[in-house]
Order: sequence, then structure tokens, then C-alpha cells
Amino acid sequence: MSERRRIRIGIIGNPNCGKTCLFNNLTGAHQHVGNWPGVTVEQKAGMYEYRGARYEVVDLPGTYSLLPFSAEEEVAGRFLYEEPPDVLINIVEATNLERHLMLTGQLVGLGIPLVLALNMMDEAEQQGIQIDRAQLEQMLGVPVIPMVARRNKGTAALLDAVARLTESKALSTAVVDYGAEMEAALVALSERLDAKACRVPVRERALALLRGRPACGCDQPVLERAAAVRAGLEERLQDTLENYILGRCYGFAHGLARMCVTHSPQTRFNLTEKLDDYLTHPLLGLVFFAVCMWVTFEIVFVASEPLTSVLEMGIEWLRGVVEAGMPEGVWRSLVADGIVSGVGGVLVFLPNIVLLFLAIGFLEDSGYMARAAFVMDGIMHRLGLHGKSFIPMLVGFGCTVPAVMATRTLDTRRDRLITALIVPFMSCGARLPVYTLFISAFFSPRWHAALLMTLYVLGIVVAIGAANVLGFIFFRKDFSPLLMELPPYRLPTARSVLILMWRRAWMYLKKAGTLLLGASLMMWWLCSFPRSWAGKGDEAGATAAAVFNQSYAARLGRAMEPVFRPLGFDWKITVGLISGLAAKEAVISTLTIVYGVEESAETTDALQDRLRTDKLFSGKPWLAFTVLVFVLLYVPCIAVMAVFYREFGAWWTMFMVVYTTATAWGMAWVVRMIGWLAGANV
Amino acid sequence: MNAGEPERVKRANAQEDYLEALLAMGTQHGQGVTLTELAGRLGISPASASEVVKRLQDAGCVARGPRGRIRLTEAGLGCAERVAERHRVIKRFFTDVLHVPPEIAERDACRAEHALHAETCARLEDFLEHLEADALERDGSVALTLLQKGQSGTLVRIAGGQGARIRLAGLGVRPGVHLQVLQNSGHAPVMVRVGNARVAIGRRLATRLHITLDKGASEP
Repeated sequence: MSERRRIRIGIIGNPNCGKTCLFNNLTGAHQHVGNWPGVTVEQKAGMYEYRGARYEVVDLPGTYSLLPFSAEEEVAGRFLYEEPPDVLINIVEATNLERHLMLTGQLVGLGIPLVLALNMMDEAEQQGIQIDRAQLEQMLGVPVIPMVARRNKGTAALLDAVARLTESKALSTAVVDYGAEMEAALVALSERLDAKACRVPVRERALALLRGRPACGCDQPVLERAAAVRAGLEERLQDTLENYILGRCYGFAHGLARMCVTHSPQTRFNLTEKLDDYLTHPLLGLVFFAVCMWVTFEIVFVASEPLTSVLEMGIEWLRGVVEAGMPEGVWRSLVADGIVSGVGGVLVFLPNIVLLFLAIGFLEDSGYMARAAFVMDGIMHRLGLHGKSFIPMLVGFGCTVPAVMATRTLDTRRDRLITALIVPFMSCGARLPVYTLFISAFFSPRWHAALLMTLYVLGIVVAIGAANVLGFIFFRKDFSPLLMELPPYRLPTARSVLILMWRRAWMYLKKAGTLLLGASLMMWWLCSFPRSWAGKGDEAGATAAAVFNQSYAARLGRAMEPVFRPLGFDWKITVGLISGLAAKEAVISTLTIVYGVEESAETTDALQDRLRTDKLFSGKPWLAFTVLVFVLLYVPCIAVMAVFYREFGAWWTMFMVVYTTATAWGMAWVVRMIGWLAGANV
Repeated sequence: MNAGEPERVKRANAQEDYLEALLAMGTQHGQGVTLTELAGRLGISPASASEVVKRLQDAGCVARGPRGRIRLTEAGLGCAERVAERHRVIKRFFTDVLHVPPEIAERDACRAEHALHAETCARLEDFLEHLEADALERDGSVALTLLQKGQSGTLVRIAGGQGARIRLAGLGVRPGVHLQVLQNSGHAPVMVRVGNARVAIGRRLATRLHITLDKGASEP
């Protein structure tokens, strides 16, 4: 039994080389996603068992080298130095081996047993690339496992190699030759280090020291000595140390590739480049991009309808059961009006959100997302952003929380901050239910898609304006250039898209289960109290509306009403908007309670009827649209504030809250005035 | 100039020296250094160092960790890197253009980095880049942005900043590599094929990549 200790494995490789796919193959469903301590770079960990031993797998963020240039590379480097795993799997693309081996060059000296997973063997074969595996294995001194991660081929051999390595703990025999000058410096520094202080070999620690990263077992004098040595070296090498190290790693990779890779020259039809001729064409590319976005919205809006109605029926049934089965009083009200209505109102929109994540997952997995960033870069550039900002913005259409996290892929703080500040204007999936509700209540079906599109476009336009203003006011400094790899087009595998979708949908559901339930219950309390539940005698007099009129929520709404009067909102809408701070989905569940919608077959339809007949809205579709503009732009939910706080600190979070709300108020007012001038009844 | 001015200038210079020292000591990683270690490196007493550190802390450039250990914040790192960059540019001008011996250039750059305005330094850098570009034009290379779709050549040099050079190298774009332009139009980035991968390079950065065209590869 004591044999069953946990073996830790790290997976490292360039971005987009199949790391996550391999991770999914190894761990199946046994994985959990969190954040690396201190930074919001996603940390994925999972478990598997093989021949009675338990393995814990950590999927490191994609990195091109260990010289830290982004948060991802910093995280990967820190992990390898500070908590080295028992075995490290280095996944490389067989189609592009030379470049990928450069990272391998930085890994061989770490003192961690290494396996090279040679991925995309099928594509390499198609392209006439042959790799001499035995030769590579011999030159690197590590096991080399050919595989096709997308088709789950080669996983068994990899598991076996990892298991054998945990026994033998054999280290790589290869070293990167840094040239006489630097090797001498490394030896000199190594001698001043305590070899037993930690697992990392002294040579590697000396290398880290030269790069200004304090390694274990060194004190301040050694650190200063290293800085002096570095200065001397750079003087003699006529180059910066980082450049020189990379050059040497390239030498290492090039040497290996020359010995182990042969290309049989063939003029093959390259589908990716043919597609790119059109999809990244300056004009056609933009057209295709627009069509792509339009189709996405159509799918989300139309295809989800049948699922939504089934869910609605289920919730109503449950509500009916509760009402029939429980005695009249505070508890029945809590369960039926608070819990079932509140959470039900969230679940109803799950189909929309799942479909949206499905579409985004498809775009990411097919390789088109990078092209979207490419075709948009020219436009984005003129807006003071660059193409990479586009990806967080696109993710923002799903949920603002991962979008703020996705800003980590940008290289400078300026770009990160500007992007994160405008991402809340990208209409997130949770706002969609609110639009759906109001749009289908007040407008005829043939306008639905167009109005929805208008809202999304308005969000984008406001975001662009905000980016310009923010860039002008706060960050006039230059921004970093766009630089990214365009992965080959691939047909996404159902498995990877579904896993991605499932993970994101689950995050949404978890939010619904905890935060939203809390918000619903709080709103129920605000809406139901103060009230006497003393006897059955008062129910005749106390109609739902009358009860609500004296509740805390109504009082809060009335207190806030003057602020929203210039926009034409009454206190009921105000209460809904306030509850939207907890989460945008909560706007609907609150309105359900506020408008006292009860005892109907379909809650949503009933609420829409109530809205249509409400004296505030009757005959005023334009006012409904004004409400949606406000919902589109005002402060994102608590979860976003929390992420934002962790990324950028309290001041920027406060700034974000204030400026988004001010923008929302201003834009809603402008929209109302436009309607008024155009003669609409507002 | 009023009487307070020299004092203020001296203070600003000291702060820049501290930031440079903290950068050189690698305090953007790990737990940072103690006040004594920092003072030791700068060759002054911890008491006088503490005052400057306090000011840097107020300015948000450094943070104090457990047991008062000092480390650079992100803002401080940016500042320190700008000072270090200025130092490099000035020193390069002294050694490469004026042929001043390295030791003297180093010493003078240490002082000049505080005295020169950021604008002057930027012009100096432009000037150095111009010199390089001129030299390159003589050897027949052109900026990547001037290549047309389908043309290919060898990257001979990357002008300018260190950061971009390392990030390019990570993607396999480094001097000596063979590139083919796949897409180059309007304001969009330039798309090139490097080895078996496709890389998009922003236009501004692409102008800094100097290419010698392949012979006989003059198709449109």
C-alpha cells in the first residue's frame, strides 16, 4: 500500500502543439482547473493510474522558451525550478521539430527525467518528413515517443515510458554547448554553489544566476558576482546574454534536426496556405470574418429554442409540484419563489450559453481564432490595440471573467489593462437572456436577430471609443508589436471541443449554483419582507403586488429611482438593474419576482406579457431598447470585479466600475434622446 | 534655476540608480533583497538608503515583502528597464560612433543616462538605427514590409529592441533563417512562412526585419 505514492508529471511545450490534447488523453475526466498562485494563468491538473501507481499531471502554460517574457513563461519557469516534477513530458511537433527542440535544449539540463513526445506524426508523414527516432533518442539520451495526440495514438507507449523513467530516474545525456567563454564562467559560478542545496544541477543554477534569477543555495555575494560575470561576458560576446543563450540553443536544435530529420521533397498541396490565401485576404478575410460572427449568433439564438422550451416546462412542473406539496407560508414562498424561480430562470438560458461556448471552442480548435486576430489587427491597430486584444474581446462574448483572464496573453501591462477595461463592453453570454426577454416581448420576430446584432455592435463601438479615450488619457506610451503563430487549420475533434465546452458551461453552472442562488435568495428576501406571515386570514387583502410595494427592494428601488428618471426607468427596472450586479442573469429572476409573475405555465412568457402590459412600457418599445443599452454597458458582475481586482488592483477595479456605469448611463440617455428626436414614444 | 532644483535632480538620479541596482540584483523575481544588501551594493549606508527606498515605495516602484525585503514592482521594473535601455543606447553611441574605450564609455554612460532627456535618447537610438539601416542597404537588404506576397529571402538582421528579438527567436525568426512572405497588404500584419510554421508579424516590427532577397525569386 505504501508503494502507492503520488508521482508528479509536468507537460511542457510550445503553445498550440497539442499539450492540452495530450493532457486530456492522459487524465480523461479526472482533471480540475484553477489558477497558478499569484497570477490568473490557468493551471490544469489531473490524475491517472497506471500499473497501480498514481500519477498527478500538471499541464504547464504554453511557452516558447524559459526566458521569461510573458506571465505564462514566468509561471512555467518558476514551476520547473521551485517544485520540479518527477518526470517532465516535453511535447514537440514533428512537423516543425527544429524550432521545438530549442525549448528541449533549455530542459535537458534541469535535472528532471525527460520524455520527448513527438506529436503530429501523421501530418509529418503527409508532408514527407521522416524522423530518425533511434538517432534522436540516442543523441538526446531520453525516450522519444511518436504520437498523434488528436487521435489518442501513442498514449500507451508514453505511459509506459513515463513509468519506466520514474523507476530509473535516468537523466538526459545531452548538453547545450555554450562556448568556451561562457562555459568557463558557468564552471566558476558553479564552484561557489552548494551542490546538495537542491535538486537542480549546479550548472543549471549557475545559468539561472547569470540571467539574474536567484537560484537556491546562493547568497547575495554570489548573486552580485553573477551580475559582474554577466556584464563581462556580454562585453566579450558583443551580445546580450539572452540572445546568446537562445542562439546556442538554436545551435543545439539545429544540430539535432540535421542528424535526425529528412525531408523528401514533394510539392504537396498545402491546404492551410490555400485557405489562408482567402481567409486572411485583406478584403475577403474581413467579409468571411463578419459572416462567421453572424452565423455564430444565429446558431446561439435559433438553435437553442427547442431546448430552452423543454427546460422551461421542466421548471414549471417542479414549481407546480412544490406549490401543491407544501403548506402555504414562508417556506413555500422561499422554495417556489426564491429557489425554483431564481435558479430555474438561470438554467433556462443554459442552452444559449452552451451553444456559444461550443461555437467559440470550434473557432479556437479549428485554428480560425488566430486568423480572426490577424485580419482584425489592421483595424485594431488604428484603435490603439493590437490583433491579440481581439481574442479576449471575442471570449468576452461568452463570459467576461475568462476574457479578463485571457488578457494575460498580451505582453505589456498597457495592452492588458486597456483590453481588460473594454472587455466588459463585449456583451457576455449572461446578458443574452435579458436581451432575449425584452426583444421578443416588444418586437416582431423578423427584427429579433437584427436588434440583437445591433446591441452587440453597439458594445463593440463603445469599446473602441473607450480604448481610444483610455489610450489617449492614461497610456500614451508605445505598445508592443503583434507577433503570433498561425497554427495549421484542423478539423476540430468532437472530444476536445466538448471538453472545452463542458468545462466552461460547468463554470457557468457553478456560478448559478452558488453565487446566483445566493443572489436569488437575497432578492427574494428583499422582495418578501417586511411582511407578516401570521395567518391565512390576510391573504385576501395582501396581493402579491401589495406585499411587494412595501418590501425592502421596492424601497431601495424607489430611493434610487431619481438617478434613473432621466433615462425613463421606473423603480421596478431599477431593482432589476441593481440585482444585475450580482450577476446579469439575476436581472431576469428579479424581474420575475418584481412583476409578481406567478401561477403560469411558462414563466418567461408570463413575464413578457407582464412587461408588455406594464404601464411604463406599454406602447414604448424604444424604452425597452434603452433598458437593454444600459444592461449592455453597465458594471459587469461581482465575479468580474473579483478577477479584475486580482489582476489590476483596487484602484483600477474602482475605476472600471465607475466608468462603465457612467458610460452606460450616458449612452442610454443618448439612445433615449435619439428615440425622442425620431418621434418614438419614450 | 531656483535653489531647490539641483537637490531635486540629485534625488531623481539617485532613485534611478537604485532601480538599476535592484534590476541588476534580479529582484523582480524571488523574495528580493534586504536594505543592507542594497546599500552595500550602492556603497552607501543603510540609513541613507532607507530614505530613497521609502520614496520609491511611495511612488509604487518597489514593494517591501516579509522582513522588509525589497523587490521591484511591475511599474518599477518598467522604470528600471527604461533607465537600463537608455544606458545601453548612450554607451553604444560612445563606443560605436565615437570609438570611446569601453571602460570610459561605461563610466560616462552612467552619468549621462540621468542627464539626457528621454527625447534626446530616443533620437540617439533612431540615429543609431539609421546608421545600421544605411549599412544594410549597402549590402542589398530590404525591410520585410517591402517584400511582396510569394517573395522569399534570408533574414540578415533584426534592428532595435532586445525584447522583440527574443520573442521572435522563440517563434523561429532569427538572423540566418529563410522566410517566405505569404500575406502582405494594407495595414494587416505580414504573414511569413518560417520552416514549417506560419507567423504573423505586426507591420511596425516587420519594418525592422532586414531581408536579403533570394536570387531569381522576383515573381510578383
